[in-house]
Amino acid sequence: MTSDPGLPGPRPGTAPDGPALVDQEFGSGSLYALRAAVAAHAASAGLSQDQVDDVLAAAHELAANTVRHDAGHGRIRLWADDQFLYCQVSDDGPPASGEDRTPASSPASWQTGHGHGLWLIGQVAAGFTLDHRAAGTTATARFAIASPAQPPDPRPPARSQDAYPH
Amino acid sequence: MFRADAAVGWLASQLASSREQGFAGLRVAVDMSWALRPVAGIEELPRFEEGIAAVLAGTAASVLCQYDQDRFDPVTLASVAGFHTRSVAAATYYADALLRICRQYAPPGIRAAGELDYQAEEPLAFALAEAVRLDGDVVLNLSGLTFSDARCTLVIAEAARAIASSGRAVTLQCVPGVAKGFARLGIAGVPRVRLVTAGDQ
Repeated sequence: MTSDPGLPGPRPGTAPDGPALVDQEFGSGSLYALRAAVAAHAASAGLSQDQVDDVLAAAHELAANTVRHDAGHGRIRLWADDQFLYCQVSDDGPPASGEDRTPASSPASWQTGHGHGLWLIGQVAAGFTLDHRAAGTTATARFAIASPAQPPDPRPPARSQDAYPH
Repeated sequence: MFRADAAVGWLASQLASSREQGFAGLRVAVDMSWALRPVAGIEELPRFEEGIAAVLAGTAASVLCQYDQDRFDPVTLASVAGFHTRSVAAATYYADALLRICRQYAPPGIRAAGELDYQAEEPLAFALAEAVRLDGDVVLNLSGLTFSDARCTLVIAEAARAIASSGRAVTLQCVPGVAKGFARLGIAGVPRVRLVTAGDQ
């Protein structure tokens, strides 16, 4: 991801200085609270239920990876700009050695063990960055927010969307 | 119109009749779902249960009253529970404030409700292992599940594939958000596995 110094405001993918939609600590006992907060705030940021499901899945996998394989606890932040909703999970511990923390590009092997969660993130997110440092790991996934200016979908409403009033 | 006296009287007459015919005992199974219909006199249900308990006392008869826990409210269940000398609930593999996994008897399979993540993988795997050993087709009723993480979705998909590979049909019932996880794994392409999305009206 590149920065554009000509644009005001925070670099895309960089956590804003101002208040985020979600900014909370988590550990193994609070993944439920994390999911509840992410689902509620992603929905209020204007994402469809289908997108909320994707953000929720990615946020959980990022946090679960931190709990299971890295520091054991971390911090999640959710914020949005005009185009994207960002979900960032950071921790202050070194990554476990020998772990492959790159999202697998191959289709799901059903025998996949560790790394499967990252594969899922690669499937649902519009972009994903991972920053390993001695001071900790920061993973950021972003999701396109459907622009309200785009023309209405000419297709008749699909049956499966009936359950999702927007 | 339901009248507790009449129902209890009927049971007493059946008991007497079986005794006259020389039977050593009598077993009755009652599906209590009728009580969910808009029946007048339903407030007599506890009296009915109380009456049955009185008629049965000291006899060699047993009555099995079957209440569907999905359909009866907890207050009604609690109000009749006291009249039953024994109660049996579906085998529960796991239950806490967030998640419940239990055996489903008809159709055979398991039922999970709440939120499922890797922390519950062990009881989930145990429940699925029992489902794999069932005879015939299997229904994995996940319609009460609002979340399943990548790990548990994979574990369930593996079990479904194992059952299907033995020639049996597997039905996965779930809400759209959970169904997406199975679809992502390509479960639609597995023969004899059917994904039914609750909420598709």
